[in-house]
Amino acid sequence: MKNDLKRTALYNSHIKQNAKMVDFGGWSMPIQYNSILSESKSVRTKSGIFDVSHMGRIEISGIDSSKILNQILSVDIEKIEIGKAKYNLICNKEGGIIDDCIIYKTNKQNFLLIPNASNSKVVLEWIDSFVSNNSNILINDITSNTVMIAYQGPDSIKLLQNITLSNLEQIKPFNIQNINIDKIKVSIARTGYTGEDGFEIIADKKDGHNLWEKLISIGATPCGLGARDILRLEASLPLHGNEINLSTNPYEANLGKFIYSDKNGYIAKNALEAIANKGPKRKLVGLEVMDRIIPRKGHEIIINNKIIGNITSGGYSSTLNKPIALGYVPIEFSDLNTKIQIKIREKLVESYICKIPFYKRRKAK
Amino acid sequence: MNPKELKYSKDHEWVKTEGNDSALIGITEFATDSLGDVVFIELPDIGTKITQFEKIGEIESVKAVSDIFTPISGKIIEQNNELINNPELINNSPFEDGWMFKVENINTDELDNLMNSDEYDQLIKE
Repeated sequence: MKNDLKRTALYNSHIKQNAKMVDFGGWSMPIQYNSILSESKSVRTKSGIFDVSHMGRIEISGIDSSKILNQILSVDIEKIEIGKAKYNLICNKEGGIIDDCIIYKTNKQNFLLIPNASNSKVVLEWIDSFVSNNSNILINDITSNTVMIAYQGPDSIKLLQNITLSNLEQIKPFNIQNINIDKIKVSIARTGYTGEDGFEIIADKKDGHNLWEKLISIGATPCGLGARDILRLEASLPLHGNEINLSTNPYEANLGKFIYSDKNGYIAKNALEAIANKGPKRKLVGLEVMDRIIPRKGHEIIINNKIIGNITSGGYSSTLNKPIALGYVPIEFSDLNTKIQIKIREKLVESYICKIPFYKRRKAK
Repeated sequence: MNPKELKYSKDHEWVKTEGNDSALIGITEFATDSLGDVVFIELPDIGTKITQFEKIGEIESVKAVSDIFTPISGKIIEQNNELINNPELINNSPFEDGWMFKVENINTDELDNLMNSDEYDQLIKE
């Protein structure tokens, strides 16, 4: 592995726990501790923690912050209440997707933006391009001073409640609050990337190891990025660089509902309206395979000996016990149950278009 | 950890001879550890003649796909059918229950092209 990889504040914890480390977007990150399948099962049935400190954390504040963010993000910033978060898309003028992010409104003029690890730099530069000399806006990248831990799974709320005096039930989905977890000050949001209930917790770098150990002590299984990837695939949450990128648009990726078309100022507004009016030419669909062989990114999707698209992500679902994949096909071939083939190495594997998400949790009563 | 009675290839396969004519073949614990959870194994049909060190199949884990090279020549006479439904046997018991296939008509001279357990221990330490 390259030695110049960036390390999160939890790097030593991962090494101590014998995690297998890989290069992920320039960061040395754990892909697994023990087994990707058993780690993803833990998250579906109990609870697991992920070091997601490699993701960006950008604080944006100042009188002009709302106005500038409204030009950049696909959601209407003015309509977000304090303490709430929204998933949104950062698109360029042509409607291509620069990144998908969560934006938190932490106070009247204070925001926290979470871009993907490998896109942090591009997103920062993109924001900068909207800032002029007389803009009243402060952009503060706090990624390297903080840790971010995702605590996910059906047991997460119950177990975490044992070590905090704050009532976690009051933190509704997509809400963020400042609380103490056993004397550690954190910002905690009811968000995640696994399709389970759970939290994403931001703390000071110096408290990272302590927080990680505390979560393990209450019963969380340490999980690597391998489990995170299969969990998000089961929940059919897009990954930038796979399902979405600069040459995909939000509508073909089934993300049109995150484009607030009635708001003003969004840089991609005209381009996206044109795409929406014409209707997308292709569509991101779910695929199931009638075999144990795994379709992976780049494999060709074939109908009647003709290549009609490519797999964007594939993996082995431990929840469904079969391989699953996402890929783009032309609209005319995108109906449920359409039979297709996937070319996996030299083999044509039978597959069909199925409903996504592959996995949907039952809501707690 | 690598059993003394087996012979090893640099591609991390092991051979266990049974008499002078047949042998069991599998992959080592070192290999299963680096592969991670195995979900799929593809081997040639029974009756196929295979030649030492040629690529004969694929092993797919949650993480990636790797080639299987046979450490010895012969004719495939049996595959471990348990692996079809329980590929995790390869991870849990690489040297015993997770064996992959059995060959006959082997040439014991070829065993000289393989490593003993001490030599293999050394290889995976590097």
